[in-house]
Amino acid sequence: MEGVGLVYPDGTRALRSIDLHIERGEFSFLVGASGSGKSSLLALVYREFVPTEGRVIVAGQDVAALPRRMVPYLRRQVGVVFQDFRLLPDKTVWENVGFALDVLGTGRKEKHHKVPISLELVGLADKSDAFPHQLSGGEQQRVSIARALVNAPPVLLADEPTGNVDPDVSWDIVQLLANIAERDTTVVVGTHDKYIVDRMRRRVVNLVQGTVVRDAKQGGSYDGT
Amino acid sequence: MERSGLEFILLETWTAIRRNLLITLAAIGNMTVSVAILGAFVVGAINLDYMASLQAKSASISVWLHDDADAGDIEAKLFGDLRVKETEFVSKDQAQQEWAEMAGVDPEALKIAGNPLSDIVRVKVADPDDMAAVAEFAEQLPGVAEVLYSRSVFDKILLLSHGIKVSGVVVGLLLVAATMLIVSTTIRLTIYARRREIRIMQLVGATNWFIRAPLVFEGAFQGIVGGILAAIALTIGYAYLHSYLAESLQFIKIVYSAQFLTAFALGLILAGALFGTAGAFISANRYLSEA
Repeated sequence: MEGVGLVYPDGTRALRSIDLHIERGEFSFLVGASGSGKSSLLALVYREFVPTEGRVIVAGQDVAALPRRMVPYLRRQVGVVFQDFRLLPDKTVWENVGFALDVLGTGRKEKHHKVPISLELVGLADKSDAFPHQLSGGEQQRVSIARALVNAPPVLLADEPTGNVDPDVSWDIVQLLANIAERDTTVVVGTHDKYIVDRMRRRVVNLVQGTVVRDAKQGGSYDGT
Repeated sequence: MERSGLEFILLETWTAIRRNLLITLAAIGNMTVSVAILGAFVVGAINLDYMASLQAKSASISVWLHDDADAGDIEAKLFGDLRVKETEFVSKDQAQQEWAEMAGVDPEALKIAGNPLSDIVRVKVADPDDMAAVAEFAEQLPGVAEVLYSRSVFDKILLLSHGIKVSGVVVGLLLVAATMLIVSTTIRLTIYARRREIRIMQLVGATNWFIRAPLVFEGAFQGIVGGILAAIALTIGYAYLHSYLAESLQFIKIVYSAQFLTAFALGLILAGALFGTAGAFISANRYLSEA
């Protein structure tokens, strides 16, 4: 990101002159209070929003310059995980993960190959036939991670992935995300979970009112202490 | 696209229809009523026009000849005109006979007084619109004494027939616009019910085409079912109307044949399919461009 700014249509400024570079395969935290611009920043990467200033480059592509009809192809490169899981309640775990491949027109054979790998990765291979409401919050979040990963995107974004799960499960989720980064996937986790950030000691980018106030490259903590 | 893609779209369509049964039923009901109103209007206009043209077609021009005129030549000239459909020569004596029958007088008795009538060529035109022009043409032919047709009645029928056509198209277009509005609004409901799926599809990188396809199929399905229901209702109603008219109001003739009914029913189903597809397409596009 180079000199990125974002102003919402209603005039609210969300982000201001952000310069940020994240390496391929890097694991980093994006921290800050609610309303500091974490979600907005992530949303620029999967082009939910287009920056009003500056450039956002994902895997060599300028996202802002991307024509509208190309956006779906960018999103296949960027997996996204949300606080509220966003699973389809009337589909099983297997179907929820498979859905991400279905909508890309993936063949049946490939689907039957990829879905189990993805579920295995998040440790839910035995819950394939369960429905989301039969799972705990942590398990549901794993399903949504499996869905984000099934297409093997080079970038994985997680917006408050632990916001709706128990504290002890949060740690597992973040560990899982860190393992995914080991597999040459760039992982950015937006969170305000101080405990987890401090315990992980990874790169921490701190946002306050839409600007980066601190970028601790390694061994970072939530508040710089 | 791969076969599994189409399979997925059709499966999605079917699940959505089953899951949102209430909304689907409401949409189909809406579609049925809309298509039926449009269909009833169209069939009404067709019949008004049909009745007017029946009247117009039965009308003929009477060309009265001078006694010394060459009737064969005049009839040939009239028949030679492309606008003329048929000609009939009625001799002076035949004319008197017809007149006597119409008046209820003994024709033999009339003959004693001599025959004041003249030979007539009756002309029927192919297109009622050409009536006046053909009459003018006939007037100019040598040997023609007078040309008669019920101009005022005729002009009114023509005017009515044109009025029906013009207002039919205007009202028809308004009805189509209203139907489209209702249909696309109804389909917005279906889309709204599926906004969660649509959101996820967008996030995992489904193309708009892929997101739209199940919605358009769903709209087409609703339209076809609505069209079939409207076709059934209107065809039955129309058959009843026909048998009622045949019994009690015989002078009113409506278009009625197996061919017409089939075409009408198929037309309604096709209209439903078109409305459903187009309505869904419009709504889906609007929704996707907003999101």
